[in-house]
Amino acid sequence: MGILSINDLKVGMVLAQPAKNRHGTIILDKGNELTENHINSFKTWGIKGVDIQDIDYDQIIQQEMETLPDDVAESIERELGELFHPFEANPIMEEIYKIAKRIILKQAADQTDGVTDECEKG
Amino acid sequence: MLLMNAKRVDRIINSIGELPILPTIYARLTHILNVSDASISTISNIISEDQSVAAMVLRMVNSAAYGFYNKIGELQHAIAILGLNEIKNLVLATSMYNVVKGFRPSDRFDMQEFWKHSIGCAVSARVLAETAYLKNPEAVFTGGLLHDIGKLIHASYLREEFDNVVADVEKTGSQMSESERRLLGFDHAQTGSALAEKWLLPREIVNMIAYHHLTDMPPDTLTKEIAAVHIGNTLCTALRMGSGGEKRVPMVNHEAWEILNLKVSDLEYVMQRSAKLFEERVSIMEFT
Repeated sequence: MGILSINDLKVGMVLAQPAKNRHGTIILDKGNELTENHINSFKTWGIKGVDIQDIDYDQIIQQEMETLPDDVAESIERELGELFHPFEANPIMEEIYKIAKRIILKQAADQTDGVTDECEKG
Repeated sequence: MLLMNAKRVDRIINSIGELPILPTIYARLTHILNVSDASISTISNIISEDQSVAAMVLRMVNSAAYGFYNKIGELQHAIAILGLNEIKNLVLATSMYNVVKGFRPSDRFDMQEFWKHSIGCAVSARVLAETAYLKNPEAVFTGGLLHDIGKLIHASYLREEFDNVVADVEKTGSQMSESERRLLGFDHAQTGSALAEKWLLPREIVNMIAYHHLTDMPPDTLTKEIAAVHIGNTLCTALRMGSGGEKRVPMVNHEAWEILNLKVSDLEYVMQRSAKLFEERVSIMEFT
């Protein structure tokens, strides 16, 4: 299981924990497979993220990398590589590196989306 | 040796004529909240005495993070919504912001990045504290916010030495505290905690600043709160929340990790949540 932001949800994903609104009311119980309608109603309720079963984070990283322009993805990899270099075999630091990379790639992808949206509006 | 350095650090702190002072509003608020069941109107009265704090509270409650449809204009209403813990954090952060603005650091010190790093560490340390069920996440937020204040003292009052340290960090890739020890004989954790003592902050917060690298720590000093600030510093550097001038992410100390009693799988939640809270905070508290 793993928390995914509302923007990353895909039809067919399965809830590992109930999705709740800000008052704690359950909107959709765990074990349910997401439909387009579910995802839209989460948005209506202002739910920001939900816990999804069997998330393959490496795959998500790969997908994020593909949506970004090559130079952006490369510069993020390079900067993080410098920040984290060198650390000897340390499971905690390795995990921090992996998560940080995913979050930063995601932020960059969101920003790129934002820019495209702006352009389309203009 | 250590004692000599400690005396030198004290001398530096004492020689600074117009040392920025921490606004009294935070101390007064903490005092009131500790000694009595303060009413919202009492708290509101204290806050409204400092316009910058009152403005920040209203900005926070009206930010997208809370998502209210109607604008909230009453301080008392805002306090009731945000809750006392959030109010304490905001009051401290705003006071700290005003203090930081009073410094005139070297050109090689990036105030904006430093401020973001301070907020980033405060937020990450608090999320760690909450996830590990510590009883005082607000104190940890404070420790995180102030952990690197010593760097600002060096950059403002020991400019030449500070510039040399920055050059050394650039060249060698050392942690800044290692370069400071090599070149100055003491580090920013010592100067920062000396300032915090002068500000009469509680011992536990002084210790979070003093030992956030876990160096020179007397036996049995390590607490979960110190560990949260130590790891928060690593997480916010890894997530590139501003910069304290380090070239490398500080390594998480094994003992510090153990004492917090978290699982490696908790890191996912902690880092996602920290990144989110950081964005919310930084957007309303941008350094200008």
